[in-house]
This record gives sequence, C-alpha cells and structure tokens, in this order.
Amino acid sequence: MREGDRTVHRPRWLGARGIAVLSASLLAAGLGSGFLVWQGTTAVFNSTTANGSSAWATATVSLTDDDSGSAMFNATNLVPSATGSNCITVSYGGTVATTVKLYASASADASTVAQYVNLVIQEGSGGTFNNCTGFASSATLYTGTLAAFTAAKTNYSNGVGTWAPSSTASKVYKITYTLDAATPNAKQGATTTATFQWEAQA
Amino acid sequence: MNRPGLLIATALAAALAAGYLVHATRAEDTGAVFAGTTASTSSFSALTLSAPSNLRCGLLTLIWDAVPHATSYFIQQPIGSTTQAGTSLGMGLQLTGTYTVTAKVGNWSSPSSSIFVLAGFC
Repeated sequence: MREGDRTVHRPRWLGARGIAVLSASLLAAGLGSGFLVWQGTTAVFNSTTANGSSAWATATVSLTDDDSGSAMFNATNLVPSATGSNCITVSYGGTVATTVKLYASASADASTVAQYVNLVIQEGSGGTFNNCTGFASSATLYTGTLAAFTAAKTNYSNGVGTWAPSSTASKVYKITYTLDAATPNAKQGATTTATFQWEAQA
Repeated sequence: MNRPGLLIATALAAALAAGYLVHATRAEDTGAVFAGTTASTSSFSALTLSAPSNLRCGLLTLIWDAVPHATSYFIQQPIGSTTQAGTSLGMGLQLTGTYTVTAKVGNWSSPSSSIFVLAGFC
C-alpha cells in the first residue's frame, strides 16, 4: 500500500474487516477502563453501625415421666369392687409456657368391660411412680368410667388437666380405678387396655 | 395482548401465586405446634372364677378345694341350699342326694361342680 510517499505494510491476514474489529475492540476496552476509573472515583465518605448479630432459637417443649417404661397398671384377677391406685410424676422440661393435658392415646376393649372400670384422676404433688405416699391432690381432673374417658378424651384439645408450667417443673398424677360392684358375671376374664398420654403444646 | 400487557399480567400472576403460598403455609393455618408427650400403658383384667374341684366326702361332711379369689360358696343340697365361706359342709341328715357347689365373689359365680352322695358316701 502506498500513502503519499510512505508505504504502509500490514500483515496479509489483516484485511479491512480485521481493522474494523480491532478498532471496535480497542474502543470497547477504552470505554471499559474508563468506566472502571469512573467507578473508582465515586468513593464517598461513609460510616456504618450495626447491633450485635441477631439469633433466632426455637423454643423447646418436652415431657418425661418416672415410670421407666413400666405400665401404670397391670391389674389382673379383678373382681367386683376391686380397687387400686398408682401415681406418676410428669416433668416439663420446656422453655415456654404451656398447658399439660392428659388423654387416652390408645385403647382396646373388645370385651366391653371398660364401662365397668371407674376412674378418678387427680393431679397434685407428693408421691412417685408406684408410690402414692404423701400425694396431695390439687385438682380432680376426671371422675367416670374408663370407657367414657377413652371415648371422649382422645387428644390434646379434649384432654383433661390444668397444669400450666412455663419452665422446668413437675406434677404428680394419681389414678384410682375400681371395678364396679355391679359388673356382670359375663365380664369374668375380660380385659381392657388404655394408654394414658400427657402432652404439652406451645 | 401486546408485550407490555403480557409482562404485567405475568408479574401479577406470579405475585398472587407467591402470596397464596405464603398464606397457605402459615403455622396457624396448618395447626403446627411444638409438642412434647409422655405416656404410660395400663391393663385391667377381670378374674375368671374356676369351678370348685375335688369334691369328696369326709365323715358325714362334704369337702372341696378352695377356689382362688372366691369369697364364698353356694351349695345346693338335696333339700334346700346354703352359702358359706368355708370349703366343707356337714351333711346332717341329708346323706343321700346330689350336692352342687359354686364359688362366689361379689355377684359373680363360677361354673358349678356336683357330686352324688349315697348314705353319706361319695
């Protein structure tokens, strides 16, 4: 190529299109670097403050008892007017206010003898599992048959109980059963079972 | 629908869907609570009274073995009947006939057992 008196040599692979692309790239690079410079010069004086880091911890709601896995009642050879009682200590280990309710979470009564098992359920203090010595009742929660209890007290919402702990605490429950004196002769050998469950909700 | 209209409609639908999801998962709507439970099982089994066994004759006396948990026994004699707590009964003058013994507890009765006595001998 000749330009006036000067001869400009360019690589053979660099055609007119190559020159255009190269020019555009250089222009873009220039604009980009300019943008970065502009960004770097937008610095301002600033100051921030923050309180301590925030934390959200969920509450705990837990119940335990002192039966060590043993049945509260394993009453056998019951005869009319037979009676017995047992106590159990229920402990709340949660961190929020709650109300503890007692209900029957399961039951079996194929021989329909539960209608003749009368219950009195009390809550209070004193006594431990298998030993009601010193128990003092603060409230009678239920008086009626086991059949009625297992039919009507089946969950937290319809359970019985007034105990409302807000932190670690214990309550003793005393359950007394009596096989009704009028239990029919036909109920000999009959068996019924129930699971008494305590629940705290928050 | 032109393009701006389509975009607005899409955004509105997305916002409504998101709001519904937030509403649907609120704890009070799902009933979710923190709960703790503990439980204890119980079993109540009624007695089955056994029939009196080993009825036999002593010297002018009817004897039988005690039935576990029985509090009394009803004895149907050849003539009349009686109820008693013990496990033997003097036959008196009723030396011949059938004796039937039933164990009792409360208003419950066991199956009965019988024996025929002849002149005071079983």
